[in-house]
Amino acid sequence: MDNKKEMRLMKVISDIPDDMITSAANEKTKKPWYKNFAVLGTAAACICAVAVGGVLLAMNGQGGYPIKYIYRDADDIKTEENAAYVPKWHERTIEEQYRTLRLSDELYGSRCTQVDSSLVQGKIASATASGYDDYTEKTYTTDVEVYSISKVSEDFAVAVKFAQDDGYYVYEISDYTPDSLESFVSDLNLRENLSFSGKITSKIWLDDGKLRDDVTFEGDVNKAVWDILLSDTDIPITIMDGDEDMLHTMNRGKTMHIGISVKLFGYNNIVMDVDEKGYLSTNILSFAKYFYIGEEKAKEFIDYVEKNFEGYIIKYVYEDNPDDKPKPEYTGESSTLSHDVSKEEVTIYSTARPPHDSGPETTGDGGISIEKETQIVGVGYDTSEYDVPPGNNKE
Amino acid sequence: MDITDIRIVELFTNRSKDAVSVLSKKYEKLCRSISYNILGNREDAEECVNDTYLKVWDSIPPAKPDNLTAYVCRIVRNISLDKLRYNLRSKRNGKTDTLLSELSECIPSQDNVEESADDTLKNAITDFLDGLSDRDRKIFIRRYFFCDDVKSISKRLGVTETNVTTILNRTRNNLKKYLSDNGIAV
Repeated sequence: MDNKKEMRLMKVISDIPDDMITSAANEKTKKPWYKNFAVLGTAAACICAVAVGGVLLAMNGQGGYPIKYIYRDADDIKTEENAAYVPKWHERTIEEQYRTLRLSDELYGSRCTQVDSSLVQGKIASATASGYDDYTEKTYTTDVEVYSISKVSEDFAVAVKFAQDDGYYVYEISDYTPDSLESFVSDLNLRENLSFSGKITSKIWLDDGKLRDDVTFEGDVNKAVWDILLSDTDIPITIMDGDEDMLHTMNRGKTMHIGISVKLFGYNNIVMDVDEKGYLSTNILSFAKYFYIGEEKAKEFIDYVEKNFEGYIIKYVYEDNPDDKPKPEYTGESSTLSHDVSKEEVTIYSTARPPHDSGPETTGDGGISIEKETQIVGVGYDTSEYDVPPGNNKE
Repeated sequence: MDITDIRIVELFTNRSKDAVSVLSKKYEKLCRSISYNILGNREDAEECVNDTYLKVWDSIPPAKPDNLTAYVCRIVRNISLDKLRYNLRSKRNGKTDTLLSELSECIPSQDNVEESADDTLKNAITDFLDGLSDRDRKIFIRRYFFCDDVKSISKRLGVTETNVTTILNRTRNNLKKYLSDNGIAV
């Protein structure tokens, strides 16, 4: 690999003026307003006023959801970065070595997922799979047998067996594009293969692409998805080119991101989205596909989730960045502030929305309540992660 | 330059034994972050940070930097890039590959043109960056000087990841056009 020009550019960028370097170096991570002491004072006063007045606030139309602080070790993130390591050829499993397969002019890619032999049906063809060694820059090939997978269209995926291995592995057509929602559901046999994580995240995207809210709901949406979103699948796919895709992604309004998996094909913890503008989309098969199901159905589903499931806002607190920790001044109870609470989850309720009956007891002191086995370290309030409006960071 | 930096430069100038420890106390995290972002390897980054201290010790005096932050950042970056070049001969690094691949989009296709002098290229890039908005310039520098990933930049500058990606893409295209329009080859 020759990166001579790129490396030269990198070197020259080292010589940009000092003031540009320091200006970028001194740029501190933007803090949400609830972590800003100046704003906090005002916010605290407002909270008291609201409590005294017995008025329930509703912010951004979503209401004061409880905030769940999750402590994370910054090293966890560094470990994720190490995932960029490219394994050597001999370190890969066979389905990782031979990633591509050409069959009847279609190019299939390995999902690096094994399929149970009970789901493997008749043999379709013999073929040649190929793989590329990034280190030696050599291409290898091997003979394989190709089978169909029970109730899964060959237009989407097949099972592959290597002579030197007993397993069957899933290979999918990399650029598979269904004609309609119906063919998408049936080709992948989603009625049997789609599973739900039980978590739905609601976000509000404004017209300028800014994120205003992020609430997580927990509950079983299986029935609602099939009864509302996928009740009528006779809907053509909406093809978007790159720009339109980007534009739509930035202008979705309120969107529910439903955590899903299609484990048979190796898709875990991905999403199916529905937005208030009537689009259903998913990143099954790596790139987004959109289906216009209509605003009425979309709204019905969004309302269903908001009315039937408990919601909360997640805030991550990083161990190596004490600035991220909720501040003692928030609580008025500094004596409880031993920071031994690291890595525990701490849930603190705002005054705006009392916890559900099944939730923790309310203490009566301004609506703040504390879950058992947790310590109060700050009071949270329903707000936005991106309270500093993106694009408006004037220095 | 703040008072701490002035004091640190004095310590180096006076060959004080505390110079390196004071320098590392203030700059270790920043240096390690830059080096790790480039190399993606803790041990290599640690080695480069130590080499940086040595380089600062060797260069001050006679050097008397007006801006210690930029001076140290530049040294650790250059040492890490040298190490990266060495590493790339024997192994791949997905993170850096991505960075270099992005940078390749800034390079005009002028295969038969002799490459411009370092100073010419440096001045052109400086002029180009000068013409950017403050936000776009910071995003570009965080990505290609500090080698931060998009997520970190998004968090630091309060811009969505999508916007960061879009701005970087646009800036790379504009830089390529700027270099090409000015007849500058890389």
